[in-house]
Amino acid sequence: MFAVCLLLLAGTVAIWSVFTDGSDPGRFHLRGVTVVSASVIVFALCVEHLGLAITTFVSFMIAALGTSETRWIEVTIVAAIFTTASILLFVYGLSLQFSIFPRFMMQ
Amino acid sequence: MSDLVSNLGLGFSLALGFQNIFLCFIGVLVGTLIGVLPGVGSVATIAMLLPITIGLPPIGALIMLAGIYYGAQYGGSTTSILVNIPGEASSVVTTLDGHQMALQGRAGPALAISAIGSFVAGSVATIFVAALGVPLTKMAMRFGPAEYFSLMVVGLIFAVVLAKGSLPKAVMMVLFGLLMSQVGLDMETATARMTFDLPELADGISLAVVAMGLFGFAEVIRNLEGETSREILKTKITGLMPKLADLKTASPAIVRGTILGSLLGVLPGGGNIIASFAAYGLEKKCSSHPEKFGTGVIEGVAGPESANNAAAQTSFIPLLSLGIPPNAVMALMVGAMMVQGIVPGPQIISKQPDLFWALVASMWIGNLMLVIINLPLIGIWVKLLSIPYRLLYPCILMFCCIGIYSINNSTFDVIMAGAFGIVGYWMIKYDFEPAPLALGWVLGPLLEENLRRAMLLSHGDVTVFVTRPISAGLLFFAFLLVVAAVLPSIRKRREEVFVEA
Repeated sequence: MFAVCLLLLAGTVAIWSVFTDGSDPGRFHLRGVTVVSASVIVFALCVEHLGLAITTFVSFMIAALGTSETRWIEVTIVAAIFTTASILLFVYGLSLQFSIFPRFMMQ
Repeated sequence: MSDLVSNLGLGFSLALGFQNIFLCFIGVLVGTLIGVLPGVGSVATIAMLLPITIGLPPIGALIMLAGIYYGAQYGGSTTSILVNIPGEASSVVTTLDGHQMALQGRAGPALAISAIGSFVAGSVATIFVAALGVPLTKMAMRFGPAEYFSLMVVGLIFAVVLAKGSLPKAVMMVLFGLLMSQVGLDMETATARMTFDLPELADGISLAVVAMGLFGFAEVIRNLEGETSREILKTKITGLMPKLADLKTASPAIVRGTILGSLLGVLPGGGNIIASFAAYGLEKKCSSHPEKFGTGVIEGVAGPESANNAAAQTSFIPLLSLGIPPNAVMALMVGAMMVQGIVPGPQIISKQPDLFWALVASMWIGNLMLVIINLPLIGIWVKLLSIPYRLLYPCILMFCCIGIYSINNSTFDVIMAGAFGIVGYWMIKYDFEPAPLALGWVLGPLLEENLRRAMLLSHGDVTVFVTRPISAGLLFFAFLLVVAAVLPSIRKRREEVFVEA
């Protein structure tokens, strides 16, 4: 009940504010949105199966597609360093229960 | 008075323990490190680092988070002065004179005066927190559910009135936050609400997920627009320490900024942003040469920086004494406390005095560390600033992903945060403030719980909110605030405050 009231109110205000001021928000930057979502989704889908190491590296590289300024050799090195550092921090430093490598390789 | 001293003694004896002082040190250091990175404000910093503190004991975790907060704030000022990019809203005004000073080769004194001002302000504000904590808690103990409900209404209305940008949009954000906070199982009947039959939503959406999405991912997407390379100060920073004359002109500004900031910080809804803007305005009015502001006068850095830091400290007061977070950062602190099994509210100070006093003492220690760490390390921060964003943002993104995943081992949370990132980007584009949303989010469950309790106690009689004097007073105050915000003359002034400074 409370929630429905809120939804109605929010909706009314939304419609009202759309009609009252039509300031130009500027162009949406689709590349950023796509790349960031792709990278996040890949991370979420893979981390349980492929482990932290591969997933982080791959998502990092996908994220790097976000700007045309990327230099690939540089990014690969940074991605490798970052992956190692995050494994050290989260798995060894904070001793969280993550699988580092793909399941099939662990057996 | 002697109570205060003995309590502070207890606090210092705890906070000075080896582990806590170490955590405070790490917090301030890491907070500054991440806060210096452009495009990462203090909310995003705390959200990113929240998962790291989960494994710590409660006192240590809170001390570390508080340290991260001051560090991030100071880091934000550093980027304002050196690269003219404010790390967050509260250091926008610092760019005006701070960056001008840097261009004139006086970056050292600007950074130093900002650290000194912050330290003085932090010390005074710590005493303020310690002195006000107990009486406020005593008052809060007399509050029933009805009073709490009304108090939160006041808080939410403050958040709307003090938010920048259009009023209807701020109202919308608060309502959206309240709505989203209702997702999950009903706390009394355990009926699933708005979960769309997804078991992952039964526990509700955690604040860390929202915060990382709205303040972390969304910022990254926005920064990816256009050119990411930026102008970095080429001149070498020489002569760190300010001259005696600088200190002389800056000290009254520091005092004024501290007082103003301590008072405004208590207000809900971005008190430290208002404080820094107001302090800049005040300095301009008090100055004998107002026309020089904007060209690199040291008062223009000292005033707002002190105010902003004082406000950052005193914003802990409503959280610790009433259990009500006044801004998004404090909302995250509530999240951290809940994870540790601490329920924020007036009972903390009586039931867990060690926690309260250790936190207060650590505030002062944290501020001292800021000065000690930052003045010699400025060179390193400057180097960090020259890391190009093209390498930085994938790191930020991945760190957030791993962080969210580590909280619950839930990939669903990671995707949710990504979705909030896109929503947040849309909100930035259309000038919606995410801060009121976060506040609504945190206050939502508290608001509902107290509303229901009040209704139970009064057997469903709604008039309970206006027949109890404190509650009625609070609601009347809330009503006055609404009227004030809608009145055209005040509305104009409100816009001026933000535009002018």
